[in-house]
Amino acid sequence: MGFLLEVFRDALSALSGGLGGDLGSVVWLTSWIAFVATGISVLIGVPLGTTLGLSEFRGKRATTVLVNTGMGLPPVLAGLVLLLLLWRGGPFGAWGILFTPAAMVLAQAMLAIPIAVGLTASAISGLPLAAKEQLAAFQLSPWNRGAVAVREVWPAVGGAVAAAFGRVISEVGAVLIVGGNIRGETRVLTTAIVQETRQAQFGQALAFGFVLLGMALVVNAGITWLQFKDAAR
Amino acid sequence: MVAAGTTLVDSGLMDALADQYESANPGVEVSVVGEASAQVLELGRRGAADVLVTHAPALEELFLADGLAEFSEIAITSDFVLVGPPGLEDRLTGTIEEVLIEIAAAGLQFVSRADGSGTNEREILFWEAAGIDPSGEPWYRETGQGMGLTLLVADQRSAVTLSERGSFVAVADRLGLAPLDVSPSADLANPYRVTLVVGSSDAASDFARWLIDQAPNVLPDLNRALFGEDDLYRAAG
Amino acid sequence: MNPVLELDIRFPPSEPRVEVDGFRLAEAEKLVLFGPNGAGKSTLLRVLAGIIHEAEVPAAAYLPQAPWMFRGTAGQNLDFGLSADGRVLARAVAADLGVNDLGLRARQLSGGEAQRVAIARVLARGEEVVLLDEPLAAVDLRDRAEVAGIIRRRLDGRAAVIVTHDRDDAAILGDAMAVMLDGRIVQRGPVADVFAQPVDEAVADVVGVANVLVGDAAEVDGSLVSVDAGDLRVWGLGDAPTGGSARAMFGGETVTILPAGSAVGSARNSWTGRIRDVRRLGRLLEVVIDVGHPIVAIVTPGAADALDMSPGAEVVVSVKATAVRVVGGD
Repeated sequence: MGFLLEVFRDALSALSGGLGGDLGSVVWLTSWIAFVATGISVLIGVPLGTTLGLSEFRGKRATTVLVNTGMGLPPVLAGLVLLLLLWRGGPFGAWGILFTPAAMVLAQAMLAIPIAVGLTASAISGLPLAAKEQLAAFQLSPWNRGAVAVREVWPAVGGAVAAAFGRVISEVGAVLIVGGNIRGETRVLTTAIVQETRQAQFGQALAFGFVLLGMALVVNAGITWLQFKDAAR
Repeated sequence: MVAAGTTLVDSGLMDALADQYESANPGVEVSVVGEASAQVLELGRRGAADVLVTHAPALEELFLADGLAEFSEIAITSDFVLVGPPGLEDRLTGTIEEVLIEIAAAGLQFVSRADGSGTNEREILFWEAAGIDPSGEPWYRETGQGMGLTLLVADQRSAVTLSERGSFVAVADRLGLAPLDVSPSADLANPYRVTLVVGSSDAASDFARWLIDQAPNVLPDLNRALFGEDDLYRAAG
Repeated sequence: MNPVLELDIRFPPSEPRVEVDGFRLAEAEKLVLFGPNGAGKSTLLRVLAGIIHEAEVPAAAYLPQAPWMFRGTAGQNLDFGLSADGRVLARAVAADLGVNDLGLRARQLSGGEAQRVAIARVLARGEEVVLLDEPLAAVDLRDRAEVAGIIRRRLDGRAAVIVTHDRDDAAILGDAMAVMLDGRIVQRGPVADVFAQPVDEAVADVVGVANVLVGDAAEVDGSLVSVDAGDLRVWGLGDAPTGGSARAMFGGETVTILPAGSAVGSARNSWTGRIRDVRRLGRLLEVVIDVGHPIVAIVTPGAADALDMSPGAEVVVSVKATAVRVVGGD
């Protein structure tokens, strides 16, 4: 118990200033990378998921299996594939974004898009038959039809966004591989935790962990609040 | 249980040594954990590791001063090497201090492990000897990661980094990095210390003793088999 | 006149099975699909709407059986799928139907209100063909005739297929009527004919037997209105404007047959005629009496025994005015 208490005390003192400028830059980087990656995954994943949920076509089941597999894509595998693609001399090496935040955004989006697609599709598929039939009766453009459907199940789509954000912000394998944990450039909360742990700076690692938990809490609380506010009306 | 400095694990030498020991001593199992030297010593302090192989003299001194070692000896030596993008080797020559001063003056990209490893500790000492404080400089990047990933970053970002030679040789053919010519090479010696933590088992004690005693006998073959170089890792003394 | 809609529908693999050859809908024709639950009415309508079984069908305005209210206000729900002009029209129809507060959350509307919103929405669409699945199912009984009348007026000039299993609704909304049983159309004809002359017992069982007299509203007396259909004057409940065309409807079981010369007391609707035809309808008898217009009566065999029911016999038929429904409009 003495050891744990000591680590906990170290974490608290690290939070109250010991992390210094590092904490600021790490939190800032973590936030914007996660928000941009989540944003991309929502922009791409929600329309795709809506299309998948609303349409009937040959191979829909196979597509769903593929998407569900993507939801469980091992982050390190995503990181490795992206590393190979972005490696100088590789297909996209000319972009020169390996070990930069741009590569981390790509990696996280790659992991979050299947989640946005899968959860949106399942929410849309869950619409009652009457709602689907009424939607078809409106004869809207595909885009408007999707918008009405998403609005109808938005608490579930909000849940999909929260899940995508959760995946993105808590992920370490892929961002470590393609980001490189460079201090001030690509060091985010998760990779900082790995590093501090490897250097036996358990207090600092735990402090970063608290901040990570706090960020996930704030975002999820926000989405849940919106869902409850909607349900109350 | 064994703990080893990352560079020896990154290069593959530690696993090879453990395999050799296990085949000579059937029934004994050696677990190899790859961590930075600071972490390795911390594991020893907490009693989570028995045999420590480290290359961070300043940290090792503290560990020994606390009376935590049953016995401790420098057993293996290798070298550090500065590596960088091709084309720099003609431009950067001289002593390690002169080369670092030149890098700082030209603002050439430099990647540091910044992970409390022996390599990192030595890098900091080199910067101090050169009279430069690189931290916070725009050309100075810190990965906080092991040697392998740091070499990847240096390669992709066209930067110079300090590496343990074996770790570099193990990945050199897949990277576009070339060693820089630093003289005299004696400045770049990299001694590994084998330490048996107090209170460890007889088996652990036997393995530590084996590492120290048998290094001269087993290293030449392992060098050739793993790296194709004769004198990468040498027995100390 | 060219039909606006003509197709063969056969898709045995789906449930319920629907098999209709040469389904036609003439320009501006109002066709009622009538039949028991599970007969395939809604399925046929879905096919016509292009929702299932991708048949070559013209674009149609479609009201599903269970209109769904999406998130948002009644007004927002009213606007779905409509052009700017359509939205103006939808508001006018909604106002006719008594839906005035469009700021309410759509989910809080009663079933009847939601159905009115859905009706206004579908009637405001521009398609030549309108498909309505049980448009009055959720409307209160006392408002049904009025809502049906509004629908009828708003369908003016357009072709429509309307699913219902209510005789009154069918009589108001339809010109023609198709009776469906087990996925097939078993009888199709003018509404009055189908009600009066079901082709077989099965159809009679489904539609009941009803008399529909078409004429002009003549006189108003309190809540009663008279309709002059040929020489026949029929009194019934309703509010058809006098001078305009109107229909009077009553079921065959409401018709009483009395011996010739009977005093009929206060019954306004009593006419003398001759029996033209007697058929067995299950345990009941269907009797057609010609009083200048064929009137169909359903009687028990016991009642028939007390009278001379042979064709040609003179009888008096009587119907209470309160059993007759009068509706204005074509």
